[in-house]
Amino acid sequence: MQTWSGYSLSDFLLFSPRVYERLFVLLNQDLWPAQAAFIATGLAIFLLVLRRHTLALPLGLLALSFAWANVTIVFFLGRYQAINWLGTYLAPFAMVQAAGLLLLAIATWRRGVLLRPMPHVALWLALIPLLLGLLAYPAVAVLSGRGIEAGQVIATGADPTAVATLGLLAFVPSRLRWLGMIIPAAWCGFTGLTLWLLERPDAIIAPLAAVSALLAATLSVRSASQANAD
Amino acid sequence: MQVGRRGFLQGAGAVAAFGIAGIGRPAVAAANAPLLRAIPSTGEKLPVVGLGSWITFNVGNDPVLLDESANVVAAFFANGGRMIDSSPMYGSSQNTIGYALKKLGYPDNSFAADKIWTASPGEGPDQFSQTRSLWGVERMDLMQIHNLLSWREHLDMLNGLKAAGKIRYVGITTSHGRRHQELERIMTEHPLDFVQLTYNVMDREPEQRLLPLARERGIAVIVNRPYRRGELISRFSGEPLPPFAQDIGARSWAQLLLKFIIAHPAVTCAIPATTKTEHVKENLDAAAGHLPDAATRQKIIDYVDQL
Repeated sequence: MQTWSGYSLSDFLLFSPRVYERLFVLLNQDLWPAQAAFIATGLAIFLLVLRRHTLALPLGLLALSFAWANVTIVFFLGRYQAINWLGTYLAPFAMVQAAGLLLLAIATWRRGVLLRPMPHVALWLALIPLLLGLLAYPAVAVLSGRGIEAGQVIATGADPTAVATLGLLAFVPSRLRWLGMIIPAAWCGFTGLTLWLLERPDAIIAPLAAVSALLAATLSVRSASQANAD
Repeated sequence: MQVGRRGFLQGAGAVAAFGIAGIGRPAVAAANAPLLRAIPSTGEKLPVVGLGSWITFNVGNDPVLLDESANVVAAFFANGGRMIDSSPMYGSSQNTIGYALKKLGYPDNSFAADKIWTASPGEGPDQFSQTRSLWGVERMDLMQIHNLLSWREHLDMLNGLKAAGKIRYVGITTSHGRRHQELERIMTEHPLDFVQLTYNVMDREPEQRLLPLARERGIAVIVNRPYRRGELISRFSGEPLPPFAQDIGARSWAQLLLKFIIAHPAVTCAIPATTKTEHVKENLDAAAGHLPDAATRQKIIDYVDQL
């Protein structure tokens, strides 16, 4: 205990704001124009969710499974581990998330599982993380003067991928949603803390989205329990 | 007179114009060479200001930032610096230093200081090999045990490397004022060439026991966090420099704070980290002029305490 008591949180930050910003600039340069395809796919799935399409859940989970696998390779192993040795240890968790989402996608497709019906408030609480994951990070990058090229994009950056995953998992009508939420919610807390230490304006997005998605899932479960009781 | 880093640099056009563009084999130490101080165990002399790499050199594989870091290292050697300190804990910093040294043609005057940072004693030798490989050097000058981690086992291993001629000096580090009692015991009971600890105008606890003990035992002292990772400069830069700063040639808070540290007779080398070539020169300049005597050091403490 004595070993850690003298540290402050900022002592665990290994890199500067500029290094982290440029990480995404270079990542985006390397991957362009894939980001456009990822956002377009995400928006298409968002529309399917809005229309409560029968394939919205399996397709969304499948897309997010690919997103986590890609994030593992291009972000955690490709870039992040070079500036934070934790990246090496985080990559397997991201891969587990990808595998879990793939299994869930297959299960929901084979069983014809539909999006969980939600009360109005819970619906919006779940849609907000989905939208934030698709659009908020590039938007905040532009608004904060860092330029769109410095923005994280779903399926390449861990933050928007985790945020959108939580949003979609809130619609899963099974207890497995909670299991699926563990890794993305943990990342949201970790990245919120990291960006806060870097004094970045987007520090709030991931924790906020996580709370929103968890609330949505909780409210929808309560609503279903009450309906069953009635 | 309010002088922070920026103010100092604006007032020194020649410094700002320092050769950022040209990286080549660095010139011999500038005419305004920094003060040297002897390593007690051998008498080898080192400039009292070195270069840290915590955060500043952790730039990953970004080609732009790697070149900027190489410029910092070039400026460091060109202005008479020698000791660069890193650790496997510092992300890609070792790789960045290796990149810079290669680009500079491995300057003869470099003093390579690094650390063993692993709780597993068995991993120590492999980590040492990897460190040498990342620096691109055959022999490290100084290897230290990072934050006393598994220090008994690593100390045996490092002493073995020293006996085999693979390193020249052995040391042990701490920071943030942690585990000073244990460090004191190690300094008393084991032969060491170097200790590294945090010491600055706000963190003066080492003055009580560790610095006197280092002198008594003939152990060189490396000082980390001389500016508390920039916090002290930010904190004081809005305040006027004390009138006596001029007498000791301190033209900025950075220089005053650094002069305070390196003026302590037990201190061998302070290792501020920076991403800016101008700051490298400013730091080394602090070691080239007058240093405060004991009375002036007390005046610095009194002045800072009342801010």
